[in-house]
Amino acid sequence: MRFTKTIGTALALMTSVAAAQAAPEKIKIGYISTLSGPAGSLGEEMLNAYRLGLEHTGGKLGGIPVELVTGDDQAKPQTAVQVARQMMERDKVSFFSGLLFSHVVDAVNAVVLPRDQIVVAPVGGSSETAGEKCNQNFFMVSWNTDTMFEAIGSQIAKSGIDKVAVIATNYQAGWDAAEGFKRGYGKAPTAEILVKLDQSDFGAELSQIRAADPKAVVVFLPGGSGIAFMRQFQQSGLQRTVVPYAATFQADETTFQALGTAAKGLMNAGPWSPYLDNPSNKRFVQAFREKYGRNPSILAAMSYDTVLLLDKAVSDAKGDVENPATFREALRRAKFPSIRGDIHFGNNHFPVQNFYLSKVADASGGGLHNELVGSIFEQRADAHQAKCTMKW
Amino acid sequence: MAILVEQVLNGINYGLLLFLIAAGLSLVFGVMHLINLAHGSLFMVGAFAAAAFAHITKNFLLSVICATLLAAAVGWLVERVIVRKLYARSHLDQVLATFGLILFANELLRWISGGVPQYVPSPGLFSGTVMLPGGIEYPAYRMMVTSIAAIAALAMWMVIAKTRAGMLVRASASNPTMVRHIGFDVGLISTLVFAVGAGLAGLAGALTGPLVSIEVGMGEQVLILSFVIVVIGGLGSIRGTFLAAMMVGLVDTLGRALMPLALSGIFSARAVSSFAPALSATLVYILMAVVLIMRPQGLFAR
Repeated sequence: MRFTKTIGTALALMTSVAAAQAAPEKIKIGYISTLSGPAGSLGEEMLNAYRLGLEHTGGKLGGIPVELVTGDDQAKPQTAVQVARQMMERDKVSFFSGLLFSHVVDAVNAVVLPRDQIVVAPVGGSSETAGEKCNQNFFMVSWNTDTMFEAIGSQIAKSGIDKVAVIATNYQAGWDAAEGFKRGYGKAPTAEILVKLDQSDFGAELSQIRAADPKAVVVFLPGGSGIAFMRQFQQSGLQRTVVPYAATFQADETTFQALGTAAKGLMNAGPWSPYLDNPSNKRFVQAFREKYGRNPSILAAMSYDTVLLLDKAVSDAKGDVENPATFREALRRAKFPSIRGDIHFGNNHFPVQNFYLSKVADASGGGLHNELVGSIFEQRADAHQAKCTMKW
Repeated sequence: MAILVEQVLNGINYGLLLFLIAAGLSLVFGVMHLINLAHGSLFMVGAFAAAAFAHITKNFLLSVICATLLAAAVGWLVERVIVRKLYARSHLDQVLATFGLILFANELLRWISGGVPQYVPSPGLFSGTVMLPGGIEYPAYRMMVTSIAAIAALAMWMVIAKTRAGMLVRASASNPTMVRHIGFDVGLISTLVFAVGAGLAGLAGALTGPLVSIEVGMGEQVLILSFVIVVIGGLGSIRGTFLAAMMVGLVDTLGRALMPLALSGIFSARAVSSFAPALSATLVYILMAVVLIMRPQGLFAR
């Protein structure tokens, strides 16, 4: 009897020690992103929003002070892997966040996830990570790009447009976008044009589009290529008869400066708008505007929302972020006050959420803004969920 | 038929722009035997300068002229300070040094511009379209670019073929020692040629600005095609460069437009949509390979 009591006391003592260890004094976030090179300004925008989020949570997650360890991946997978290893071994980070490009995400995942480290990425998902390669330690806060094109397809079908041209870059993400569009639209487009990566002259393609005589053109051309296309589209006179559609992250504050008036009238689909009516969003947009004098881009929004998710999950896990099982469960079920309103994770750890239609128009105070036009999807999951075998 | 005419116009437009860039590369190689990888950077300088001048002067034509002159001035400076020392060195040294210049130019412009793509509005007068005979609607801006580039190409040919200065340039290319012995300053001629080449690249950059995204690294994309043109045309031959530029412009544009149509009879739609763009992207290189097999020295090499 005495013996069992002693054991009991010892166990109680041990668990209290374990509990004391569980809530660390400080959470270290390994934040990897593209902070230099042509896409460096996007990484910068996201980091600014991430810091704003941490400012709003008082520099804490779930009440525990945070140290942000940042690393530049230069959009190169091999650099990202080095940075990730260093953060695990030297900095002993609690979990990983940040991340921008899907090919970098894949590389980081390959070295980080098998060691039971959790990755909570704002953007950079792919149809593979949402489908057969889904992982219990990987969370995608924003979207899989093809769902936006599904939304565009569905919107175009709903408005009864019968002739559509699609132009996309000839690689995996471009094919995903074109497939997504077809899923939403329900049939093949009148013209489907694939172009090489980084193409800058679109004379031939615009003539093809003119010949197809569509009512809408759906565009997925990353980076400078998309900017070049929109400018030449504007000069071609096609914009009088053809309405351009794109994903919101290619038609927002990150591209307005380079596009100028060519952006006007661009329709876009995405899971967020600066004009969504909820307290979190109002607080975020107002604070961002005060700091940077313009609306946040959708990338900034996803970055900020990642902090809100982490704050709630760390709080639900009672600070026990070093225990992957506890932290994972908390992330999966976190009911956090998202700036997107109602969202939750699907079985593949990608969000189930609403999609909205926006239109680039003149802002009242000069410049451009993304006007909220309406809603396209309610509580929509991506199309790859079924291929993910994860159950929880 | 209308679409074919439009595509040929697009091809000529693209070819002339490529010629403006490649001409400098070819001249510099012909006269100084220098391989200049940093030539694309001068194109980038032209585009960035035109954007900056457009914001200051609010006048498109003036900004293009200023940008061209600035690119020429940068060329002059670079030749005097750095490139001059490379003429006597091996081609490998030249490639290494001018590659270093690319890195330097990219970092400098990233530092100045903040790494964000720049915007330059297309000039109001040319922002719409023009009606060509046969009911073809064609962008007015492209039409203007074609005209300016054609005038510049013609002017260059006149200078090189018909004037005394052009004769000196040709003489320096074929026998610099003799030119020096007759009493001309070959060093000055080299600087002038380099500056003119830089100015032409700058002009091409300034004209391309409203069509594309003006960003750091835009020079490297055109550099590869320019080298293809110079190799096809024959190193150092302006006539060859012109013909090669037009060939590349037309093959690339018509390939992109016609390849899907040509293949659609043979393969399934899915195969065509992924295969045709890949094949048309390689057409230019196939053209280069064929020319090199038939005439290893290029079409018009001396």
